[in-house]
Amino acid sequence: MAERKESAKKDVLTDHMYDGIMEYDNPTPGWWHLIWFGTIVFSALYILVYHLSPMVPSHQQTVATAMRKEMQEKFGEIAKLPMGDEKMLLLMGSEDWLKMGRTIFQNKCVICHGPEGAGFVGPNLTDDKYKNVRKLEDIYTVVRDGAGNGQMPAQKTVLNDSQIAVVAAYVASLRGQNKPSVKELPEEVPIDPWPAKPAAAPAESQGAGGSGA
Amino acid sequence: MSKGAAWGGLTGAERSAHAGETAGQTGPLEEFVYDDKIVRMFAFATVLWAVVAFLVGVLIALQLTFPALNLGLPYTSFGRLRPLHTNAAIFAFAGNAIFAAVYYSTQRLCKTRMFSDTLSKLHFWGWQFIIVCAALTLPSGFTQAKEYAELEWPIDILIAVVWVGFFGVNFFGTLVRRRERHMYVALWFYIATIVTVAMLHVFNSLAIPAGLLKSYSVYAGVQDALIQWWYGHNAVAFFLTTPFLGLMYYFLPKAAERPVFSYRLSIIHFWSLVFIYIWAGPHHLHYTALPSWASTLGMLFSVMLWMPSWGGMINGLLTLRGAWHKVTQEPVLKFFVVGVTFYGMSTFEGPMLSVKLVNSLSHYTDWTIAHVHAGALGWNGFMAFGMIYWLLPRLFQTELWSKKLANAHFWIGTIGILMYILSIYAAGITQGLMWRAFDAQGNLAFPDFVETVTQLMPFYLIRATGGLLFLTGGLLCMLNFVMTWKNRPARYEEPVHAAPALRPIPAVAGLADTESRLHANTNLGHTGDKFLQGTWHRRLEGKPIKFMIWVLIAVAIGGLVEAIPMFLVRSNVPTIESVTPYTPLELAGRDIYISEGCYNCHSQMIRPIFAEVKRYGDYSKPGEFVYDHPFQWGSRRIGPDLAREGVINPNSLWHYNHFRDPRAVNPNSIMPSFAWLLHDKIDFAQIQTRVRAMAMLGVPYGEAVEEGVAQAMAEIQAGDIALEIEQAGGPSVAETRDKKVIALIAYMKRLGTDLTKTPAAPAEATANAE
Repeated sequence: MAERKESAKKDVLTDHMYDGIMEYDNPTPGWWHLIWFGTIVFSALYILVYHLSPMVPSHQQTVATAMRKEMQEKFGEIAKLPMGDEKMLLLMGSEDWLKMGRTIFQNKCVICHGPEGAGFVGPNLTDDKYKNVRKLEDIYTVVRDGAGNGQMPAQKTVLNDSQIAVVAAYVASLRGQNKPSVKELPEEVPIDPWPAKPAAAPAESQGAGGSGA
Repeated sequence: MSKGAAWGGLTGAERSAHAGETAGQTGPLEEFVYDDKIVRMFAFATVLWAVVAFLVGVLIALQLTFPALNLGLPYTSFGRLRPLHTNAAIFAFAGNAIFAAVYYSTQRLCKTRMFSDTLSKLHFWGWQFIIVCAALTLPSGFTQAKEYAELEWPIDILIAVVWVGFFGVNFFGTLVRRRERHMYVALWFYIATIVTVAMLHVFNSLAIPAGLLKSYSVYAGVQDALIQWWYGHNAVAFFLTTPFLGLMYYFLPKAAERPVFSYRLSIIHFWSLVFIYIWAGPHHLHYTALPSWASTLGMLFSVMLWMPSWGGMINGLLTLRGAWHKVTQEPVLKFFVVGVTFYGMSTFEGPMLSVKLVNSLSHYTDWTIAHVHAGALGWNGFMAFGMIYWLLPRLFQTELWSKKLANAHFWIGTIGILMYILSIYAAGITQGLMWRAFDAQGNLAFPDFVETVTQLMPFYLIRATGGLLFLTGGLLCMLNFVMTWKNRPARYEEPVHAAPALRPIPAVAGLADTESRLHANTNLGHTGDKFLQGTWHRRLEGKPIKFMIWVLIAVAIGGLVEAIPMFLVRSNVPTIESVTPYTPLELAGRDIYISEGCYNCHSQMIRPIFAEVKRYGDYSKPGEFVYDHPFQWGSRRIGPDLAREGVINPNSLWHYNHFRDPRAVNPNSIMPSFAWLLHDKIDFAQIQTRVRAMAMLGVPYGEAVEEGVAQAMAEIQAGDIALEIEQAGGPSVAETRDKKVIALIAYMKRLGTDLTKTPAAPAEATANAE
């Protein structure tokens, strides 16, 4: 109330005068104080909640939880399967796993192998010739451990075991598209076709990846 | 509220006492002439450098859509020109505008000529010389790679001399010689500017020279980041805010011919602003390896800064009460109104962006760039132009050549700003959302980084058009300036002013001590009430040196509280066993990375955010950067993060091809070609000096500091990488082994590998021993 009365009054000048500039003796606006004190109270509460209580996990803890959860939900069903032709073929037979493999490939592999897998600095992955791979499982090993003294970088510090298997399966699935090579690499040699698909695998491939949504 | 009514405004009894005191203090009348020549010089430099800064800005904005516009030259590539643009805008354009404002208003507010004409001239020419040095060294690749503090150490020393020795001494000398008892609020802001910028500049620029135009920051990693952003943020605060508030407090009421809205608000918002601003720096480092307590301080003090900043806006806009009809007619006031409004917008947006959750989306995107330009073009640009248009008729003692043109400048400039900021707000939010988008399977929706860049091209074109409009406005101002100058009189009138000399006030004759108005019976209550009445502040306004010391105390506290624990408490930067210094060749590569300004487009900091860890790998740890003099965390991702580049992509031939022609490797890339690195030779002899300079900073280089050792190690490692390239089908060892690109590739291959190091190859093992 007092405030309103005062602002209705005429502004009072101070006796200050600097090169013709004068100053009013107006009070500071009430809303201005309110918001300012509001921000100070907010700050105190923020410290209380985020730093002095265990209520909120740190960013680092949040990420670790998310990673763990992703592992369980996404890869729970394939994580325990032993690596081998059977696992590779299982992954190669599932749309969902291949799609996930493609995403990883787009993120990590395209700069050397090209967006289509037709090669660039790295070898063409769509034909029957391979540089470091002789059998299906080798793709997994090469992705995991790298090859050619670091020319193919090891992914084991970047991707987890299941992700490596999934992207390896995607790479294996590219074979047979026979896209023209961007560059011929002399070290590449033709290898035997992948082993035949087992008769009944589809039951497993259903839920794959879908649970990660 | 009514209880504070006597704040500085004196009651009847005091008023008469004050009048008597004024009469008693009157010394003999003294005559003096203001030095407007120096103002004319600074004003012209303002407009000249404005045009240069905007021009470079438009060029690099266009390079983002047309990478070929770097003309294939090292000197005109984005990484080298962007620092030139920021330095020109801040220190050349805004800097000269500040000096013009200070030199014009201080003389009049103090009723005296500047302390020394010689110092004025030294200041002017010294500052222009620094700008020319910057314009030569930055495109040539001489840089300390700390944003807005890129200039190398000899220029840094020059800046300190000109700022403190010429400008500072001249300004404080003028204050001491003033003929006005009290200092007006504009002068408080100038004092804060001079003191704080000196402090920031000196401490952030501390470096060990490793050559005439090469140095290493004395701080490393986390500490360097903290100091840099303490500086960087407060360059905004004390170079682009406080002096412009001072400018506003003088020129806005002058132009509006209205009294300032509230003296009390001036006092509160001045002191709260200078005290709180200094803490806010760490908000540039949210989610980084900086400890979270520091980042929280940065955020909270930014939030608490919102109202102190708005105090300035309120005082500016409410001063125009009763003068709004003039705003419609007077271009000067139009510039001021829009300028102050942009100040209000930016100082709301700043606290908002400093909230961690918002920052997790906005950081590293164009949102920050939009925010900066709302402030720089809207607030700094328009306040400076408003001042120039107000000054022109007064400085050249003739009418403004064309008011119409000034109006046109206002409208073109306003539309330019809006196009600029709105388009890249959209770009920033788009890209931020794309980085964190997941598809239905829980995979990154845009795993290939360049997809998120291609998306921005239409926005970038609109942005460049906005910039072009703003540049056009600058050119119109230049035209108006020159034509007004042409109409100047043959001889400037130099009116002689007279004012009584200021006599020291005997203690008894000073302002009477205020009496408490309370009926409380506690001393605390009475003391508090006397404090609230503010006579103490009125007294302080009569003591420039004491005032300066209080400002210094206010601005020192925040920095000390944040920096001291960061340097002294070990747990802030936990040591990691496997982290070793860069090999001599990697160090040389890092110097090239710095010199080419790679940090302007690439960050080296993976934040502990799920989408980011999915894209780039494990988040960055504080201990990984202990040998990074200076840190290279970056502030904008025009290209992808490189913190784990050595893990993600250690293929030498790929990097070789990519540096030669990025678009041959990635058709949508907007990175410039660095073809010259394929021809320029590594200066192997220089590597020894650089390793020694690093060793002086405590980096454990062991035997590598001995004559010839670092050089030999570098040559061996260069040979290894050249061999790798040859074996992968690239050019021969003989062609590549001594080229700069090899050193840069060595650095790329090293980035982020320390955490997951496997037993290293023999060459690396010797290099990393110790």
